[in-house]
Amino acid sequence: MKLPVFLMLALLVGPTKAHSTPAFVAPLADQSLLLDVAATAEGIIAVGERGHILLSSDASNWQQQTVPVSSTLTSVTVQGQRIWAVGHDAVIIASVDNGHSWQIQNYQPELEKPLMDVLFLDENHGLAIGAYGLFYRTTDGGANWQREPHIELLDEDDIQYLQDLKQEDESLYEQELSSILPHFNRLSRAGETLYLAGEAGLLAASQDQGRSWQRMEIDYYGSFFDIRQTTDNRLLAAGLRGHLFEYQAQDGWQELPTNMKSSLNSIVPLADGHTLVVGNNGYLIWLNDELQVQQTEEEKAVLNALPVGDKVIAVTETGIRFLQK
Amino acid sequence: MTRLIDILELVFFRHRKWVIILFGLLSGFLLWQATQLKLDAAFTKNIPLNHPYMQNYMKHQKNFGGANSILVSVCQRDGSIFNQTFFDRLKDVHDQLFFIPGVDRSQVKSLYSASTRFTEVVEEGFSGGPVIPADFNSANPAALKLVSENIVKAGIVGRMVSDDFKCAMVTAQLLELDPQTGEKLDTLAFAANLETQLRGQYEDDKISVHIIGFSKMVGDVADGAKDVLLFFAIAIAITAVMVYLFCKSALLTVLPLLCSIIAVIWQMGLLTLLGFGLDPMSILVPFLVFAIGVSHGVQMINSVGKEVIAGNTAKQGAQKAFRTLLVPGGIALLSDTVGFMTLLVIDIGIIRELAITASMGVAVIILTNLVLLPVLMSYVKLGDGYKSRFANKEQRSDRFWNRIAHCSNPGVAKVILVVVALLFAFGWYESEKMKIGDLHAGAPALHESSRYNQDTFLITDKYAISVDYMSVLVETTPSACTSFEVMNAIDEFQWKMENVEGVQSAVSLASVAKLINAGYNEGNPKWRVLPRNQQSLVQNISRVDTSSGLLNGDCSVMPVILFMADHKAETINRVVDAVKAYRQQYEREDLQFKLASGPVGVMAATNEAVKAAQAPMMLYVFGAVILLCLLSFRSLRATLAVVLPLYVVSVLAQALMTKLQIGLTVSTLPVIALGVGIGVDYGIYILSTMSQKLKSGMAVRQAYFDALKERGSAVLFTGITLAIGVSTWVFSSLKFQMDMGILLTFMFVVNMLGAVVVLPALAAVFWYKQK
Repeated sequence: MKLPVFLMLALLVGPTKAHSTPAFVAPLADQSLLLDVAATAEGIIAVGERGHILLSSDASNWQQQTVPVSSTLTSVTVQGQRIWAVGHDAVIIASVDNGHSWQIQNYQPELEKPLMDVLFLDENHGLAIGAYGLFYRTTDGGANWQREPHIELLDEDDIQYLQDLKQEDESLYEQELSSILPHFNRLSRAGETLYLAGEAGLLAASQDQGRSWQRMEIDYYGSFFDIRQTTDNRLLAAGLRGHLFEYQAQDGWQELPTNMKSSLNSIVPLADGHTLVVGNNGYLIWLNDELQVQQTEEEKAVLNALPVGDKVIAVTETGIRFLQK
Repeated sequence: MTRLIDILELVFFRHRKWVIILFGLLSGFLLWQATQLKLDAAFTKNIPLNHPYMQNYMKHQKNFGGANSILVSVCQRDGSIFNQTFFDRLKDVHDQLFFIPGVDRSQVKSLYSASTRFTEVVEEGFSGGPVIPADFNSANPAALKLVSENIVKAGIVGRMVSDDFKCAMVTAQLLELDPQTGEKLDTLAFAANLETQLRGQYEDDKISVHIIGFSKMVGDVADGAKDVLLFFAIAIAITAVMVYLFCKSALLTVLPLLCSIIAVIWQMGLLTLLGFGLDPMSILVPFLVFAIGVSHGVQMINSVGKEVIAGNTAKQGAQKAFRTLLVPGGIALLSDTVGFMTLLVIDIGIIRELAITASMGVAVIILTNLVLLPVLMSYVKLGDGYKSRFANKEQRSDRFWNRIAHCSNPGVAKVILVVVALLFAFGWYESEKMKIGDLHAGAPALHESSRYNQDTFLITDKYAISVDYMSVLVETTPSACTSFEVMNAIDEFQWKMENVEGVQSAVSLASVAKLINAGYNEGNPKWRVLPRNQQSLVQNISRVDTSSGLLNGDCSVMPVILFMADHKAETINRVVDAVKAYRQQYEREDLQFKLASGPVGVMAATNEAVKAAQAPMMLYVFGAVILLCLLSFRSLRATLAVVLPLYVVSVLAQALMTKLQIGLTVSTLPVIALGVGIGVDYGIYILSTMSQKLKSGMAVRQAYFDALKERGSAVLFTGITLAIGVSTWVFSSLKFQMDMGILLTFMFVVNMLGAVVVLPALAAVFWYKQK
């Protein structure tokens, strides 16, 4: 009966009161494992392992910022001057000054679950998702985050099982709920529609700002790491072992042949209607009318990328890189 | 004293035959012993075993031994490895290494070993197989292509296959004891096997074989040390010519050389009796013994010759020479012995061994060259021809000595002393910049151009492998690897160390566990963290075997291995200081960061020990020399006149080390003590004549002139002989012998100049009243 005690403790202490270690400002931070990159009002922000947050105005010189956590940060999102980053230990930190100073909004190492992505619809309304169906929503810019269980993403048997359990044993239900849902890996937005990609073939869409989700049918049960609409209005999903799918209005999800077997981490819409998909082992897929597969010389995992002017800046397992076709 | 000499003279010269027979028998026995002498190059002798780092190293050696491994890189000279010839050759090398005695057969690893597998993440979890499948046929291009894909999947590029796919690696661990016979590994035989059975058989114009590892290095050092025999022969030949030019008599040339060689035989024989082997480093000792022996022998034939020319018989001359030289010669040799003995304070096996063997060798010379030599000389018949050869020489040399005696003119003396003071100031300034440790890349014992170091550079360049690494041993509680908190602390320590300049990369159980955690999560880099969940952590760690060297059996000790950019002393110091600063802040009772293991850890300890030994060693060697001088001269002025030039020269030697980029190491540390111990001889010989005359009130210049006439030629000759003996080392294929050769040559020559030029100048000032 661990859980009730733990829940009580959580209630007493509150989610953000757990002890956190500030990140160590390291000379090699820009060569460390970096997991996400985004454009800010002032330049570029990159986040990664050990609570590393790096800012740059020119993509060449990077300054590591002082951050109150040393948890690995997996995702970052920008709304005007405000920035949120999320990561392991269910951490959510926020900045109101373009990323120069950071405050903790959520820190729950005892959950033992990472957040994998964060998306804000406006300056107040945001969503953070993560492993085992972790799903948080805020409507006040992150001052308060509420958990939402999205059991509608389970199949019918599991939903039935959970509902039965809820009536029989509330605590067992909570316990089961905390591990039955698949990992949520990525959120994206296209107009009024939100998309969700996750573990075990999970692709879903929502028309009501993520309050309810509908699974999208697909004949593939591997994990997806990104789902996104490109600048030329194609809807793509990228996942494990080089699996790349495109959604066709009539036929649903259709696989695109990539002829490679490394996981694809992110879909990066480029300015000219082209799209770049980046993956492990340095794989890059350049996509417009045709599909071109390339591998970087160092063959290091590329996690995400950002077009800046005519350059593409990538975050990789060994830091910042410029990508070229 | 005189009584004792009387008795000794009586004993030795009454029973000359018995003396010779006794020496003959002893020499025969010790020669037989000397032939049993083995080259010996134990790793542990070269390190300061009592240094705290080495205590930690020895304590954990059993778990993290693995240091005695051998790396064989097979390289395609043109093009990539994916062809039939290469793969067949690689298999041959693998199989051959497997059968070389001393190899732990379960630990031979290459593409061909069954344990070389790839795993890949698939939708269902993991899938995998051997990199080279069981049905592999090297003649089939499709099979080669499959292997090339598997290599990438297995993530062994940089370890088993070079980054540029031009080389592949075969590695093996060595067994310290033969499991069948229980005998200790014969490192030298093993190294020779590698050379003949691997390189000899499998290297050709298409494929090259590169071998590195401690045992191979020792083998190459031992091979290089064998050159020393040639150097020894050359040194004997040159010395023989010199002695002949000096004494103009074949017989008189042979006798001191013979006695000196007898001294060397005794010294080597005694080594075997004491259970020592000959180490590449202590090979220097026979040279020194020979050179010192010859120099004292020359003093003896010089003295006897002068008596004969003066009209005495050879026997009378020999007896007289014995009387006059026993005391100064004995004191000089004794001071050499004491100088060498001071090296005993340094707690490094090899230096202690050097101290014992060298002091023993020099002590032997007292018997061979101060007793046996005059006894042998007493049989020599020096005819009129010999005397006539020296008839005119006296006058010519008198003119020469007269010129040198100017050094003791007060005016000239002042100029000399000012120059010496300036040299000293310059030397002091430069010597302060002397570096501790090895300053060059590769194995420091060998030249950078040696095959071994070239192979090292090739392997470190082509693979993600470094031979310059240091392990920090994290000592904690049993099963600590299942604690997130401990693992996180190790991970943080590792990251902070990686950020220290000079650390290129690092690996520990924590960093490997992070990679495995990502592996368990579909290879997603976002999961490259230490899981807080204990079961997940245990699952990750369970995939790491203790043979990885990253944890011991109960994971209470987990090394963090720091790969360094080089092993320069500054780099080592910076990293060691960073570790010390870190642990001061974060160390706890149950989480200790212990320095240090790995090759660079050993170097760090050695550097610290050498640095700590330097000042006491100088203090003791000078203390001993000062004491001996005070005892024999009973004069402070005389003592200072001998010791001051010595000190200036030792400082200049350090300046020379700075200039020539020779670091202070285990092999160069003893050089100054040796240089001082032997260098004091010149001063003692000159002053022993001078001080009597000065005490009787003779003018300094006259006393010095008389001393030069009596001893000058022998002193000059001694300096040159000693220098020749060691200068041949400059051509040694061993870097440290070359360094020692340069430094000793410098010390011997410049100390001689100090005694001939600076000593009289000091005397002119100290005895300024006796003009």
